[in-house]
Amino acid sequence: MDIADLVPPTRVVMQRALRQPLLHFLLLGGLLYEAMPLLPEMARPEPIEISAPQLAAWQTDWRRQLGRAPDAAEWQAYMQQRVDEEILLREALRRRLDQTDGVTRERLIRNLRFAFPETTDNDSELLAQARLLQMPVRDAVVRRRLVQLMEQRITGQAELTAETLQTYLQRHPQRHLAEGHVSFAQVFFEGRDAEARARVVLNSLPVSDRGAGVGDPFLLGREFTGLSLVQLQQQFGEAFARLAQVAPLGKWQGPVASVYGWHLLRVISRSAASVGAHQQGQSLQMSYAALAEQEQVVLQQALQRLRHRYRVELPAQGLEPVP
Amino acid sequence: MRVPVHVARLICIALVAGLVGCNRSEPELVLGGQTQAPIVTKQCRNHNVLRQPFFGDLHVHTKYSLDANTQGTIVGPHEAYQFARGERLGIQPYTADGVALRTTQLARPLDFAAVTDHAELFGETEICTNPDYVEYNAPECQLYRASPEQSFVFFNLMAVGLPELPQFPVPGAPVVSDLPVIGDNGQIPRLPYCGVNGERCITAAKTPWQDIQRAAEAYYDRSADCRFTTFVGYEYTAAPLSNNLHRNVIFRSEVVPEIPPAFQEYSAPEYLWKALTAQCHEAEGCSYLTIPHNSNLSAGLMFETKDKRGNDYTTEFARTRQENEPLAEITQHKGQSECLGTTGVGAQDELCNFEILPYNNLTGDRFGGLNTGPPKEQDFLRSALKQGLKLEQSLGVNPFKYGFIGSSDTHIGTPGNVLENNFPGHGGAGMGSRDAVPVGLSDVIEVNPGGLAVLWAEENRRDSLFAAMRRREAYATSGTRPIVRFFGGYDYPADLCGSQDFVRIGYDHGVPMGGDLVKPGTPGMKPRFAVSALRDPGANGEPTQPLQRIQIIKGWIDASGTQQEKVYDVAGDANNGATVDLNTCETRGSGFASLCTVWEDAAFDPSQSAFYYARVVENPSCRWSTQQCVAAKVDCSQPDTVPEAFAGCCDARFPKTIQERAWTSPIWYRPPAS
Repeated sequence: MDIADLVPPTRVVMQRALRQPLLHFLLLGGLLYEAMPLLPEMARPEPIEISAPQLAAWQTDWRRQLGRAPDAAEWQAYMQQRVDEEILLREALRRRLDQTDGVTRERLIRNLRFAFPETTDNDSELLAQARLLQMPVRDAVVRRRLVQLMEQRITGQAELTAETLQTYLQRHPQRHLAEGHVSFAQVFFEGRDAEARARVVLNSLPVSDRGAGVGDPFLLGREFTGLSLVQLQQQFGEAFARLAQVAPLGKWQGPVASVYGWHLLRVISRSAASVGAHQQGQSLQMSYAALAEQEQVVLQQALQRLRHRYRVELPAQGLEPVP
Repeated sequence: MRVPVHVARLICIALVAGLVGCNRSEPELVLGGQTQAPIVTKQCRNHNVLRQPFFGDLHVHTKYSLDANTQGTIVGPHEAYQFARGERLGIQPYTADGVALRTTQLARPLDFAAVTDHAELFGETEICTNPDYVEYNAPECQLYRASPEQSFVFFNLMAVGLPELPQFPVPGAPVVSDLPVIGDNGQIPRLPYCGVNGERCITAAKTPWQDIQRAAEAYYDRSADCRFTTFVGYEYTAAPLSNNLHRNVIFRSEVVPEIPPAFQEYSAPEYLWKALTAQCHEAEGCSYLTIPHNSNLSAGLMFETKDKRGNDYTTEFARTRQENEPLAEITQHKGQSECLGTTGVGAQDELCNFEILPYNNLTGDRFGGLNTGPPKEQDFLRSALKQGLKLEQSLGVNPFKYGFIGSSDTHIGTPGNVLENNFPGHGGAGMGSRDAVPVGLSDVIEVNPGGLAVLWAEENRRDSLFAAMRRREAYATSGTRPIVRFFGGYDYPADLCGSQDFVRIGYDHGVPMGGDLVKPGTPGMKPRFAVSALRDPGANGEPTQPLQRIQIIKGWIDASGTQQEKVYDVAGDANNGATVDLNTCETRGSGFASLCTVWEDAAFDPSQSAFYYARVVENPSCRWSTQQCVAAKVDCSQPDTVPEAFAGCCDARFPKTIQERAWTSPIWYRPPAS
């Protein structure tokens, strides 16, 4: 026997193989696997019907909150936000979160026991009734809870990677910047002749003098250490803060006005904002902040996908805001 | 035998309280090649031993307060803290890509804030107490049910770290070549309370309480700049029959109970304190205080003199209350709780007529006034302080020894947004750029933008600020930022205000706000109070008014046991002629940039208990509602022309102008035991 006879021709092997149920299973599975992401689009989208009264209520909400009608872009975004909320709610219900989440269950059962104090139904029966009554959709607290639970399920998948942290830092360089700061002494003058008195003192004050014993009392004191520019502006005003930024070190300057009166100013030390120094010991801070941003990215990506599962049905004039 | 992971984990958790490590190789944080604890305790650059005032908001709701806002607010704790730090906040609506179409920003950042969402809706407890819940049989839940107080898992400073930190360069980004990040595998940095091994938090589902803690960590500036401090906190939401017994719980550090004790399980404040005491141990780095608010809406409950079971207070109960609650919120969005000014001996204080809500509980004007009534004097702090002196006489301890703070109670995640001139409404969806004629008042007429908490602390760090709260060196403002010092002693010189050392002498010769006067060194000496205030300087175009006057309010129990009060004008000028043009809201007349005085209580009787606090009053200005009514050109003389949405403009029950103000915490005097 020729050894070649023992080896079936390739075509025959193929034919046999193609008849194997296992392969069919695998091929079909592979196809389905590949097609999975496309399935939501292929499936008939579930309708989200928005009634005219619902739209009118949204319009009223908007006007009440902003005191004006939305423009077209704002209205579009506002409607999208409401639709997204509805999508998350439906996804939560699809996963029966209204039956399993503690807060939701408690609220629904309490609602029904309040409405029907004589009921002898157990919790499970009450929850079923709540669904029939569409209570998870209608009760504002339950609705918000379900939407948030769904959001949390999605955002809980966010991952923190080197890339997300880098993106975060580039977006918020100021948040982790070490601030510039100024240390200084000041002498305060109040009353009608405050400015003139300040000038007289300035002319007689030796350069190295610390300014003790001159001027009027000031509640916040005479010497200030390590104030940031923002703190300076908030406490003493723009003019004072500007002078503190440019005044030569160690020399009495001024007078400069604040809301309280007039000041002489002697800058003791000053440092500019330094990039990065702030980041030492801030790793946990940055990680959480970056993660929170990434969660929003993940949520938006998920919503983009989920929107394909739904078809929004609007009344005729729904797309344009009512003036 | 191999121990199942969940059992090992359970054992670990159980052992945590005893500091017995589970001896896994615990990774340590590596920064720049040096081993450090991840939480670095530093002294702030602008540390000041004589203390400085820090402005903040300790009552902030975000999206996690589900009941508070069903209008789609999606501002979470992260965004709330960003806003408090002065960053621009994107607010709804958002485009399909999540980009906000509107923004809002504080003209002046805050120094500190605490997000305090309603714990009752977090759902954490339910996870462990509801058998239907999938995590019910998780080891931590078994432990929780078996022994709630042991389930408190704390942050071990020495052991915790960020596991498997890769080092990576960040090209173009500020610094740093040795920036640690949680790894390529996308592990999330564990929360501080995750215990020695930290696994439970890494594996646990994301929850509101976790997110709140993460946000508090993310925006707490632990560098020497000390720009901003956060506190982990929550609101305990007890309100039987809508009568408000709410408390904000503020934790000193990141070490907090795993599950915040809530009203469902702890149905009275005394049970709350017990639960917190059991779950929050000082030795483990956890400490807390509770801050009641809106006593004005408690329908007589907040300062009842009986406990939950209707029994008279015991000394022990009074002590527990005083130790747990050094502060109360005297003002916020839903009205002031200082004084009603209508009843009691000597209760004639026209300045009590300031942001008073016209009902006495949270029902408000819903249901046509059923289930509520007019406000009650006993629900206001001045009355409670007097009642506290009275109780102290019989119990030996004052249960109502409250210092004061203000806060906003914002329900849109915007801490410190408390100005009259840009009030978006606390239940609304955010500050509108009112670029067209408004269609109505931005909130119901009786509420207001809320107030601020001010703490005198050495530096802007949690420890320092928390200590200020504990010793009540705190004051409240109605939203503006005047600076107020208040000291009590016996031998302050009459000309102390002329001294450059006012503050040092204030401390050295007496006690600051929140303190207790010691007994007179020499018989016959009378207490003196040194009070000094600087006006709110304003900034970035915020309109502020100069000061009008300082008052000292004294409450005492007289020889016959009767509660008394008296208001003294001690500095400034009540008749300085400052006015407001109600057609334009323009202010006229002068005031004071600063005021200072030393006042002696000539009527002091060393045998009578007393308290003293200062009220610093600014010149009048338009109330938020008046500003909106003027902008909308509402004419109340022609009622037919007033749109329904502006009807509040013509409601004579509410003043057109207000006087912004600060309330210092009291200084108490207790006669020596006879």
